[in-house]
Amino acid sequence: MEIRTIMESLGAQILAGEEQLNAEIEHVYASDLMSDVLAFGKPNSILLTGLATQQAVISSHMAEFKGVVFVRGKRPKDSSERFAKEHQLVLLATPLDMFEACLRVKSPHGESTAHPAAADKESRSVGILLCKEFSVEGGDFSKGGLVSTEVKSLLKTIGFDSRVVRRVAICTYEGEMNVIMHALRARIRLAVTPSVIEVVIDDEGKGIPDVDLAMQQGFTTATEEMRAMGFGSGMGLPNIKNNTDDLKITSDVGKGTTLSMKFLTDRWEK
Amino acid sequence: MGEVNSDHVASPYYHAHRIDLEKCRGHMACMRHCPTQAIRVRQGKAVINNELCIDCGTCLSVCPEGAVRPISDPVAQLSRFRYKVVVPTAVLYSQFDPSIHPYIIHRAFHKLGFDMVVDVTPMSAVVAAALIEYVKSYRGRLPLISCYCPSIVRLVQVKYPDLVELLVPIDVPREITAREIRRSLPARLNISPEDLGIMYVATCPAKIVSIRQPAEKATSWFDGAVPLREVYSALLPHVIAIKQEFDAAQVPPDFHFDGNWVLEASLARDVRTERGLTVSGLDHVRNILDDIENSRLRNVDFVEAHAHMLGCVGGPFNVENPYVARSNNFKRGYDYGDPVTLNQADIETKMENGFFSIEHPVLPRPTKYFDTDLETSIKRMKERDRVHDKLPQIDCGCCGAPTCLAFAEDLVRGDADLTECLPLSSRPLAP
Repeated sequence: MEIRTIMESLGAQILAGEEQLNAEIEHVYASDLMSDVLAFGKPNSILLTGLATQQAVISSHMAEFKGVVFVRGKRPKDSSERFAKEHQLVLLATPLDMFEACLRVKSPHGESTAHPAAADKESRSVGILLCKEFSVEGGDFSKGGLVSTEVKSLLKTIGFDSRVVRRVAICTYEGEMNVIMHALRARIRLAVTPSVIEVVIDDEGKGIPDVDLAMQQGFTTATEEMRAMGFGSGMGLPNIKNNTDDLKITSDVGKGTTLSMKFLTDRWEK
Repeated sequence: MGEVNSDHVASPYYHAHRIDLEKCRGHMACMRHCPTQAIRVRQGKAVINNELCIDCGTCLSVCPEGAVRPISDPVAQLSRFRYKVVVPTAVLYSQFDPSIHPYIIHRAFHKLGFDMVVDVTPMSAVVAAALIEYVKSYRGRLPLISCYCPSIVRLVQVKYPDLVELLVPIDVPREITAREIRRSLPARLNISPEDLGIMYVATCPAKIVSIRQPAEKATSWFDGAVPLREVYSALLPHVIAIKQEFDAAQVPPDFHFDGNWVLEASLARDVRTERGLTVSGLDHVRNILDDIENSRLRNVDFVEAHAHMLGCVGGPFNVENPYVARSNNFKRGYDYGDPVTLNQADIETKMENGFFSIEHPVLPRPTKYFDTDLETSIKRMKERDRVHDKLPQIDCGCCGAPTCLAFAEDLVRGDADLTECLPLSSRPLAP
């Protein structure tokens, strides 16, 4: 739906971003609480709010919204309009109150969606809540452990049980070190849901000819140099296996290896 | 209006320092240096998050206005006790020129009104021996971590809850010393236990907190603690006066001074050197704790960690530069030091009787960043990253948070406004 349609159905006046009126939006989000906008708002939305300050405008910019509608005839008195122009946001003002404005907004599917609870419910149905990617360069021992430490700090901050965090940290660290020792480079992808944490390490490198053999405790192809640094004792993959709830290794000799690890967040010890 | 408690919300955690709001001018030095990012500047004044604070005292050392003030028990408070004992930190001696005999310092304490001065170092030697025994006979997850530095204990409780089980359950020499004084002295002097007051002289706020609100026991064996620098100023004139007419022959034959246990590596040196590791300075300590969590530290059985560089000589309540203090300590130890002779059999018996054991287990104290269910917290974390990507990432600190990431975290928690980011809202700087 175009922003213009919303402007018309709300009888709104334009404050900034006239040239953006034809922009397509997918959702409407109504709230006065900006931390909720940041946490639950989806990109390509428009915000209905009674908070007529620059904070609402900057929050909308952060949440990748396309515009803001101020209700009950409010107009921001600060530099909101300038900020909106600089960041290609549409600002509208409607005389309607929040409730009335919500009722009048027609969804792109023909029904009213401008309801905080509805928007909230929709965003809850999304499977993977947080996805993050990191990269690791082979051979760079000085950076060994940076990714696992960041992953660990992220999971701790979210509030996962420290025992799960520990398992994830150990496996990510082992995987990261394997990349540094044996591969050219890798992407490490972290996917987080309340019940499962997944870490996928996808490397470009020589690959593992015999995965079963590599899984055996004590088997190693590490050089003396790596052993001198305390690695390559053949414990990496077995250690990972002991600490994951599900482990998949696929390897293409001459191309690379993919290590896919899953951790159940309510299983603390393995 | 002297000391103002900047935190109006009741917190279960006691701290030994406060921001003096009248003196604080919002210079942000404390905010930038705080190792746990526990400080924000709001409306031009520093605010300490009580849950995150580990009492290391870094803020005290860096504040240009002296607005972070220690809260201590005034020495005068001890006057309610008939018999007053002081247990100074071993570091105290190192604050004075090495030519000054340790007995002079004890005499100066008597001038201040103390009836007895007890050197904590003999107990340090005994506790270290017990620790070696413990590490040798321990079979379990490694490496063990020393409990000696109370800031490290708190750091582990707050930021590394999973490592709490690695803290060695042996009490610190100062507490055991105070306990033994309390157990034996009243009978020896024929006074009532209530008449005995014991005071500790501390090198950092963490030790004062560990006495006011111990992590590992219900109450401390001390009646109070004062910052070293306050005691130093009171002692100095007496020390100078006594020195002028001092003759080494005046030292009683039973006077004993150990002179050790001031520096880092005092413990790990003795605990099977090849399997021990000593680390000091919070940045380095955090690296090591991260390594332990990633199970990277594979060839180490014991970690001695100190919050301050070089160990307690680096504490914020000290007067002397840590390197000078270390040098003083070497010289004084060489001239006057007499290491205690250990009775190994006695130590083993005492270990079996729980003489050294901590009284309560240390429990994790994990921080709740988002006090919400996991799903909501994950979303807030996602938003934190999204917001952070759009912030200028120059860590200018103008918003009152130490880094753009910390600001993004505050923001999604609802503790900050986006308009506080000056570069983003392109608002002119407030005059």
